[in-house]
Amino acid sequence: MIELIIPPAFILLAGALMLPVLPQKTRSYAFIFFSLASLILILTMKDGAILTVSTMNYQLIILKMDALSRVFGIIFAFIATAGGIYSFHIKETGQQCAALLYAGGALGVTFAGDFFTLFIFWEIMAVSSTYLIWSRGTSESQKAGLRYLLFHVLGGGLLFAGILLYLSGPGANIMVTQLKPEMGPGVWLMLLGIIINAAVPPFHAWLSDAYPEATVTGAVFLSAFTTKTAVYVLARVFPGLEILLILGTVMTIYGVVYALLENDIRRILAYHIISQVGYMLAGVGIGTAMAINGAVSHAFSHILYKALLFMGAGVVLHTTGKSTLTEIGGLRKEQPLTFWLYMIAAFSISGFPLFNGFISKSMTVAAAGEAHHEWAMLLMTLAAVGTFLGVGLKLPYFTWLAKDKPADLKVENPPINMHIGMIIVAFFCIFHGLYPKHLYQWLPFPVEWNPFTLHHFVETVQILVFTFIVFWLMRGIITPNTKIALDVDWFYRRPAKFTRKYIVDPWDKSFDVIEAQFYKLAGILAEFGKNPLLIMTKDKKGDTAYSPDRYRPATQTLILTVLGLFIILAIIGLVF
Amino acid sequence: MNLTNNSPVLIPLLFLSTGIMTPVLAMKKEWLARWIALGASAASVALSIFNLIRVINVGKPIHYKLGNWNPSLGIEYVLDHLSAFVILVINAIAFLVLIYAKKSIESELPGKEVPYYASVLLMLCGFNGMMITGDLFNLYVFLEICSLTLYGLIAVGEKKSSMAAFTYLIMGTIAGCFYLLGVGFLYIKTGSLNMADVRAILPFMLDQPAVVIGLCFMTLGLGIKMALFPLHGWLPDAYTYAPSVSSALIAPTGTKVASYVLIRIFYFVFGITFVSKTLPVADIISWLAVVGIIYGSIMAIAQKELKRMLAYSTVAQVGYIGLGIGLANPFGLIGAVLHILNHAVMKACLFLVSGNFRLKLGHSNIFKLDNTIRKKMPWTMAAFTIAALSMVGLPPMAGFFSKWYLALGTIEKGNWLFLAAILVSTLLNAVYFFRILEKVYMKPIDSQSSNTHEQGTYHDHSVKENEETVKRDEVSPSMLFPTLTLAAALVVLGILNAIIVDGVIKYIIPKGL
Amino acid sequence: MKLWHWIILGLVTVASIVAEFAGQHGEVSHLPFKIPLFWIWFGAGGSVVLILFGKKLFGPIVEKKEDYYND
Repeated sequence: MIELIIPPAFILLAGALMLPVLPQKTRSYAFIFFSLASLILILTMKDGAILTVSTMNYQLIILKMDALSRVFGIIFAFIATAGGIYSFHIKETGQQCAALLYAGGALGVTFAGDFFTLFIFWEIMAVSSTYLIWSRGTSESQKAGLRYLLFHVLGGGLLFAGILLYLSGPGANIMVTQLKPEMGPGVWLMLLGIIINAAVPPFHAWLSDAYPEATVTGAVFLSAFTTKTAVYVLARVFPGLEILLILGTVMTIYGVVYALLENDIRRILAYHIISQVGYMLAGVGIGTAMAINGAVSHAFSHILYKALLFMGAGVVLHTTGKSTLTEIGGLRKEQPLTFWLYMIAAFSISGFPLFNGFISKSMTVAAAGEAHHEWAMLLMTLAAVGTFLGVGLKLPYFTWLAKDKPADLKVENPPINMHIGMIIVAFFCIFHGLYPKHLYQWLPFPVEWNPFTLHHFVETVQILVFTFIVFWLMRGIITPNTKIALDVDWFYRRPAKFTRKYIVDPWDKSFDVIEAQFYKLAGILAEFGKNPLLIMTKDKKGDTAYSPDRYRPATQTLILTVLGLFIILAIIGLVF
Repeated sequence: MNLTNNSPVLIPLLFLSTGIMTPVLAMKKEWLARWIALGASAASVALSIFNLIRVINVGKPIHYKLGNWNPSLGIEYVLDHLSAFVILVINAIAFLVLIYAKKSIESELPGKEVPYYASVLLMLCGFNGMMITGDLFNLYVFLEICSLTLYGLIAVGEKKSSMAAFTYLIMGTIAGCFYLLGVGFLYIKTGSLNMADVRAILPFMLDQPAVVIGLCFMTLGLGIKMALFPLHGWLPDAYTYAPSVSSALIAPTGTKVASYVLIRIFYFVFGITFVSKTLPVADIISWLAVVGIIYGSIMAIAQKELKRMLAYSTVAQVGYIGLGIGLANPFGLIGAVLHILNHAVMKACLFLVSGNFRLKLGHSNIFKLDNTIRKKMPWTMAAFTIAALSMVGLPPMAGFFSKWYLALGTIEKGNWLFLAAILVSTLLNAVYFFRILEKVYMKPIDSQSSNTHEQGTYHDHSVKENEETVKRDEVSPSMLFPTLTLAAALVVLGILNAIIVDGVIKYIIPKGL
Repeated sequence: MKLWHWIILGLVTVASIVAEFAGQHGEVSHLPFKIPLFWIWFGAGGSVVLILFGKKLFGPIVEKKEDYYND
């Protein structure tokens, strides 16, 4: 008997298709059901499970399970479930479907065994995630969503072009395996396309631009999937590529510096995504078993605590309607639970002992040290300082602790499911911090590193305490202002006005002219479509509409046709 | 009685016997007729599946001698992949439509159930016989059986159906005569009526004019039955004015059986080299088919009535099958056979939908459809949408894959015009199907009939009132179930098309192609 | 920041310094550990550098008003 292997992605895609037809009350339950089902499926599927489909020329490998893809699959499915609980109160079907499609796409990329399948799911992710930005409905989200979509379509196009170029070269097949850039320009293009999705500067601005404009619940999903699937693909296809180490290290600092300047809490968190992904890229770039383990465990933990951070920021946005530090403050009295759940995530990302950042981020940093990349190690630790400053100190301080709540700020109560979702995620942040073996068991390589060393504690405690002291003393300087910090998107946003006026508008006008002509042509064709037989019979008077009774050929005509055809056929047959 | 060995003959026998017995058994209890028909049809489906599995297991064609008489004196039934496949398609569709038939017949043909079901059974006997026989004259016999019942099934429709049935009668008789003449010519030259025999003997006398003329006659005869352009003239009227169930029964099956016979004649009796290289008959067929595709699509756009539109659409779709046959390469043949399956399912589903409309709305006029139908009959519209998307050829629905194979066939032949025709016709199909979808899903209520609504007053309260007063008025489950099953089948067949092609259709390709 | 917060912070710092010196059994090979209290300098100095660089140097270059991109 053939074992029925169902790709987990298909479960989520099927869920997305079914949601619109389910009654409204059951939709949120269905969402959780489908995500949970896919999680259980991943947890129970054995290594080496494979599902192939032969099309005309290629053997597509839709599902291929191994340790690397399983660990990513687990966290993706889990965060989809947690996000589903967090967004339980959402009634809009579009958002729910988009989130399921997005998660399904991420699972599809993770388990894809060939590049075509990977690409298809990649594109599904891009489109569905754009919807999560657009459904916020503000004018900024419209524009930011469009920029986001254009960027991702560009990245996807580069990836696809790279795949095609690579496949046209010698000895290439479509299986997802490790590639080296020496193999040709196609591979470079693929790398570029993936890097765009990983938000590597200078191609990262879509993330800091669009994530803060997404919906409250959408941002949680956004934070989990796009960049981490890119990390997965890099770990699968380009491990040990040195340039990733350099890019990654730079990213960690880049994100942290911008985060210190920003005012919008979700933009701060978005820049910290860039910073944390830098750790993952650096780990992939180093390429040793420990480094890859570090990158993967960091991705896993990061998804957990980043989602929790966005959930917390989402609660603030949902309850106050505001998301800028200058407009809020002193919320701790109103939302103590949110505050403490956020702080669990903040402690995790800062690497506090007993939380999951401690057992994951440091693996990457230590791997850098083991591989004798001391500069990288130091820079990454510096970025950790900045991370604590930004996420662990600046953000919560100005949101929940400092000053009093502005008098005109109304704080509603969040729906209880948001807190439940946060609690579930926070639980695992702490659980892995105390019992890291639970996470380590899923890592692709055996783990020989122990996070609970004296050195590690000493280092972490000293850094954290003194960062805090400096923050406290310099907190006046850090106070956010209402300015925005220009990033590389300046290069395509600023010239937009001029480009529009001198290049786009004339094009538009010429297209309008062409379009008018086409409409005229379409009108003529439509008239023709009403009665095509007018070609053969010119009707002088009366209406020209087709009616079967007027144009019915007589039986004699039919018989004559047969006869005529026979004569033709016979002549042809006999002559030739 | 050994079931396995006799399996090829069981299906026609079953239908023949039940068809003859029905009027007798149901004389007093009229409701019995329907159950006999359903039972026979269900049994035929089971037997068809059994036959198909048997052929797949054995791997070679199974020859069955009727009454143990040896050919060519005796009649032989041949069960190979092609015949088993097409038989299964036809019987399965017929079964589903028969489930559907109850309410529709009651509303359109009250009091005539018994003769109707009996005719249906005889028609199915004719079809099955045509598909399984390996004897040329035996095929003619079954052809006439099914034709006669077809005329009857069409003639019981609305007012104009008699005229339509009469035209079909004339054309169908001509078709039968031509076919018989063709068989006669072959018999004179080869001395045998058995297809395999003729196949063996013909290569020695291919240059004889009689053989050529015989081929022409048979092609024309089958072309009329198949409604290949320009021999399609009988089809629009016949399909439009027939009762809903008849259309749904005949449209998916009648032309397909004729296409099947054409494939048999071309590839298995005359041999492909004769038909395509020696004589350009296959080429002519493919050219005619392409014109038919475009013609059918354009005419379908012009139609106001749904059934007529579907009829012209059938002309176009038969063009696809003809194109596949005429291409004379493996992809073309795969595309043609796959399209036999796909089109049968799609057309059946669409005609069932039009039957639903007729039952609930009283008409199937496209221009009278509006937004309320979306709420009144959501499941019907869902089935229609899936079938429409499949006709246009959107993956993953089944229709896409047969067009894909046909396109590959045209590319392999190097005939870019045909490829363009396939693409253009896809666009044309989209026009006339999406027009309906737009009317049902997007057109506001009362925009044409009521003059008191101004342009700007389509805001919430007036639309909401109308929406609230439109209640769900879906057809009964016995009618809904087959419609939805066929629609779901389209998706399933699309996804599984690789299995179908690999498992069954690949073996149909004769050697030397 | 209440007084007892500072007290706890001080105790933790002292504990870490003690652990640092007590835990050095000659396995150190990396440069950082050769400098005593390295991580304290690193944490304090790093944050100062980041904040000053960010807010005082980099900020003035890239910061603009909120409606900068609006037409």
